[in-house]
Amino acid sequence: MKSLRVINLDKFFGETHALDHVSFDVAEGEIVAVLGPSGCGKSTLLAVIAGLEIPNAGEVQWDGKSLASVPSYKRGFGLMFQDYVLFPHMDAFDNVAFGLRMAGLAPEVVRQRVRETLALVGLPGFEKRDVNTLSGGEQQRVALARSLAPQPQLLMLDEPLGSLDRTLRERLMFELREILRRLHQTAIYVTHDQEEAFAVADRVVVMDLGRVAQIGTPQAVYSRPASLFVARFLGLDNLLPGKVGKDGDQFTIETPIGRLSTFEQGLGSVTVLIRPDAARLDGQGELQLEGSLVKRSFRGNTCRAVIETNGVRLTFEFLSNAPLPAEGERVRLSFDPAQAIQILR
Amino acid sequence: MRKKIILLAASFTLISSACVSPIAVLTVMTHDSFSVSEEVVAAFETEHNAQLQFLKAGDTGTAVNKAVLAKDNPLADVFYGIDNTFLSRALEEDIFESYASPILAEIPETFKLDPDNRALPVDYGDVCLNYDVAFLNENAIDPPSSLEDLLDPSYKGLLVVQNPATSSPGLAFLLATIGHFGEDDYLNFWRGLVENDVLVVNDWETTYYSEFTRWGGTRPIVVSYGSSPPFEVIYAEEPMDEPPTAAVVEDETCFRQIEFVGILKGTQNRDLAEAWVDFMLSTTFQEDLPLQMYVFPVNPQAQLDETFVKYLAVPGQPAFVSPSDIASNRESWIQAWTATVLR
Amino acid sequence: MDPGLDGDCPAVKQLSRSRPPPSPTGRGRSPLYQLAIWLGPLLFLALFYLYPMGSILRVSFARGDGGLAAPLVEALTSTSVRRVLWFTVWQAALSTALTLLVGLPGAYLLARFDFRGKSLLRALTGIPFIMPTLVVAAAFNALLGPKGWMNLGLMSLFSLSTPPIQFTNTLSAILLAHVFYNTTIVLRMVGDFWSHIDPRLSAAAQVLGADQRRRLRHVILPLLMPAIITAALLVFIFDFTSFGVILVLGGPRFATLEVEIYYQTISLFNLPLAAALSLLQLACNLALTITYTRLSARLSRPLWLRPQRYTQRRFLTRRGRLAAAVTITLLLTLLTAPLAALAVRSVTRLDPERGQREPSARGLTLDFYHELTINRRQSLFYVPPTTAIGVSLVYAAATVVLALTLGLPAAWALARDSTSLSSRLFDPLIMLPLGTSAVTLGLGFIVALAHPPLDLRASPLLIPLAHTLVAFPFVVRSLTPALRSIQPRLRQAAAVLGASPRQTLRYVDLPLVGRALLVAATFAFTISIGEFGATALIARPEYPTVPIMIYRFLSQPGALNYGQALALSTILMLICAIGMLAIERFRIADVGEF
Repeated sequence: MKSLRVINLDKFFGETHALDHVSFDVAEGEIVAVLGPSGCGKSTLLAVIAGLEIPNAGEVQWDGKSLASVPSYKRGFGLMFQDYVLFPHMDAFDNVAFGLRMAGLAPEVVRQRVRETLALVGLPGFEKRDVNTLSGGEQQRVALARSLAPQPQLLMLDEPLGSLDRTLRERLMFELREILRRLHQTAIYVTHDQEEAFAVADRVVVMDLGRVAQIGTPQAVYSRPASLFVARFLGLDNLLPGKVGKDGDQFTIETPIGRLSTFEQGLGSVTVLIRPDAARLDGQGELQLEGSLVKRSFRGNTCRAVIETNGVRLTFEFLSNAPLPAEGERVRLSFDPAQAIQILR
Repeated sequence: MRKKIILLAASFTLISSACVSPIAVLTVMTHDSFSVSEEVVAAFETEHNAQLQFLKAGDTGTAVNKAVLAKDNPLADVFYGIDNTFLSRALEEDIFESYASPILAEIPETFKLDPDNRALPVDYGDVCLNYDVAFLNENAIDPPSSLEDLLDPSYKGLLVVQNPATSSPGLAFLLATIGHFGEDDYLNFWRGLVENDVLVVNDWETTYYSEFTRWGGTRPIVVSYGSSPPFEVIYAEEPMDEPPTAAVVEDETCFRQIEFVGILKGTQNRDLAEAWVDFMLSTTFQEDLPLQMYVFPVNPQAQLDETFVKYLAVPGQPAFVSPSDIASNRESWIQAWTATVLR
Repeated sequence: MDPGLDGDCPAVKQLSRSRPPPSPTGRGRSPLYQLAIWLGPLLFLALFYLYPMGSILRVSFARGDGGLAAPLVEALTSTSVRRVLWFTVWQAALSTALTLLVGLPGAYLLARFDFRGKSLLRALTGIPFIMPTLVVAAAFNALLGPKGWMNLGLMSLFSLSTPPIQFTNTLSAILLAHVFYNTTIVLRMVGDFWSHIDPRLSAAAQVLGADQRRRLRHVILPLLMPAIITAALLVFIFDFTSFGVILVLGGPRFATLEVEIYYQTISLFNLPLAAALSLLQLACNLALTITYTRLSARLSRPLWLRPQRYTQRRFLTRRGRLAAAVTITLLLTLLTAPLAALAVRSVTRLDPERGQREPSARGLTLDFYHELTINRRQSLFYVPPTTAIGVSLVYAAATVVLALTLGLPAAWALARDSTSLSSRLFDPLIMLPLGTSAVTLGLGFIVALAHPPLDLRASPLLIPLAHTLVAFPFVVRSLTPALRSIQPRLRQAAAVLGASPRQTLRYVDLPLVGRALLVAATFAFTISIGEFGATALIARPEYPTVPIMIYRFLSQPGALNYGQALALSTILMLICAIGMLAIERFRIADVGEF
């Protein structure tokens, strides 16, 4: 089974620690998203895996063998750059054919493969088009075709949808996943957009300041963020300072919205995350909370409400048809602590 | 950016304001190497309540060409610095007005090459072989005493000359060989020189500062001016008693270049131009010549500066070629020389 | 390949993401609008190039039998002219190839790497461009001449009795001097263009399986081609019209067309033949330029020009460091060692001791510099060195302003619309002054600009005008590739946002080509500072430039004269280096890091 192993990569640019002991694996046929804010080291990571940058320490292995002495052009990987970096002096055909020609394929094979690949990405008949006159979405597809055509063992995509508008992005996001799935393509997908990462990837590697913050399936990462950073980055903003104490056998946490019981064992300061989608209006939850509804906004099939209680503002999401009171009125919420509350240290 | 423009404008105003003046302005066109004392110019300007403006128009050949091309609408009132190798071009093109200066009477006839007095002689200098005294001493070689000596095997590889097609001393030396050997034999002499490994270079600067042994070259004998040795003393870094170089001034080894002045046709300042020509022939200007341009005054009344005379050897009998011969054969001589020496 | 892989997108790209408007603006303006842009540059060329050139050709031909035909036939059928033409062409081609060979690795170094002393290196490599030929000859002689350091060293090392290197009056001397003079053109034109090309293009090819050789062949060279052929054209024209180098270093056995024109004009006064040869030279350069224009319009592609901070990096690998060290050493040896030799000699006593043959280094001295401030002969034409420096700088500043003022609109028009009739007509025209015989044009000024209100024959204004004629093509050529590489969408985006063409120029084009603008200014500055030929023909003796002063000293014998020439040359080098460093520091307010 051909898989990628990234082991303890370290990379400095002058004073900047771009990669700080980064390790993770990508299994054959798996799509792994590397998610993080800009400047977190994502693109550097790709450059190192591609062999464009030499790490200061650590190693990249493919199929169990170190790639340290394999130059970039012999690795057989594909890399689709942020804003595509198409060759401006070539038409679409030559761009897509480039890798095939470098591999020394016969002209008729090249022609055949370029045609297939352009068709695969939804640009049949675009061979002779000047890449400089293509629209953003078309350029994106040519770039994808260019990196797919040589049938790389591993395909890396660097913010592939970053420069596109929202509707186009959403459409292409699913098309992209569909294409990668169909080809059973091993891929690393770098993005700063969690929606994209969750939609495309089997697993997500969240990065922060050159370090791996969390690795897991999209569901696992979203439902159990491993750190304050991950929670914040995923847009989970209901974060409250808390202090773990002991009430007999029971551990409790003092928070601005009251005392919560917990299974948490260690004493000391913690951060309490209250999940925005876990609030109920039916009063069935074990934990009760009363406050005033400061603001409500309609968001299609959901609706978001900001509720103030004990001087703290919390944001919750409800179904659009939920019986919410008007702005300024009191509202009573209840929670099921096991799902709604999470302790981060 | 704006500052630059202001600076620029200011300096142009400065430059142009020099030529705006209520008093008469006399423009003198000349070549690159022209020089004169401030005092001497001031003396003329005060005496004639005029202002002199000099226009240097490149080397002698270029300056003459410019004067010829501008003859319908002259660039200046007076042209100074045309020599006997170019004189015919100016006379044929008829760019000068004749002027029989009263001072001409004082000047020896040998210098007056234009009987119509369109070009009046001002000064002369000799183009002679120079040698590196120390080098010849060390290697026990006698300085050449005639042009024929240069063909002797003991002088093999010692001489560097200039291309007569591109250099004025080069042309002068070619004329010296023509004057001495005659039109029929000079090419044989040059063939001999080629056999004796003569080095030909295009310009005086390279011969003197790159090829001449005194300045880091390998050739101890060079075609230069009779006045070069005194230059070496006057412009020595530290005072020296003896010039480190010497000129060969034996009979018919040098060629005399005579420089002329003429009033350009179409001048609006004829009176002032005449006054300036007279002034150039007068002792005031003539005595200034040697230390400014290292040439000899044609006016025998002029007193020569001691430092100048002390180290200067003057050829008693330079080789002679008449201006009319030069005029009619210049081109063919140069071409024949090129074919013999360079090909 | 790029530390900026992770970087935020520069403003350029943000702007460009706006969708193109349905109908393109900016292109296909009315002919009147085109003409308005061209008016300044055209008027300048017509007045100070075409008119004088036409006049002198007319006058010259009139001096023969009157007809054009006879001298032209003579020029075209003469075997000696054919030989001269052949030599002119192949020495220029060889020189250009060698210059590219030396310049391209250096251009790569300057384009892709950031290292300490880079500005200084760039300035140093520019100095040869301005040095008067006679001084360069002296410098080479000090290094490679029969008594030069190389020969003396080799002679003592291998106990030889004769100097092993024969340098003066050889073809190698011509080639070396041409490389010496013109490498800076390649370094600047190609280097600066290269520095804005996205390094990820090469990285993309690398990941797609291209090794270094194939990346160079299929990606880097094709992208650089517009800048390379531009630099090659300029270098070729310089070498083609080479005069001083051939005359002084090549010696009497070599002649280019320009040397032949000089010879026919000055020595033989055969103006009809000289004019025919001038026309021949012009025709060659015109043909070349037209080929170039076609080629360059075809090869230019819009590129994402990236700010240098995204394209440059420090040396990372030992191999990279080593290669850089080798390149820098080569450049410095070739381009600055001869000049350093000059500078050293300017502070060394020159008089040989009696009986000792080499100019001995008997200690250091500032005598030559001191002597510059003394008017020993009380000559009317003496000027202190500060005045000469001032004059040189004023002319240089005027040239920079004039050349940029004229060059920017011309380059802009060319870049916006390289296919329009006006562009196709004017593009080769701009290059013509470079390929024109200086001797002929100099005489043209005398004949043509002789009547009020344009009686400029003795005017100091003629000098910056003449310098601008030479600098103008450089300015246009430095700016056009950069302007042409700007994505049309950027301008369209600006237009949609309500920018007038003038505002588009000011806020889009200008900041994007800031770097190229600096290159252009540097060229104009150096061309003016070093120019000798035209200046010598026009300069008023009371206001000589530094090169004129150097020439005055060199044309007289004596240690002090030679020493002063060397001292002034050293001063000239310093001014040039300082000037170029100053231009590099000079930033247009919002050009920022470009």
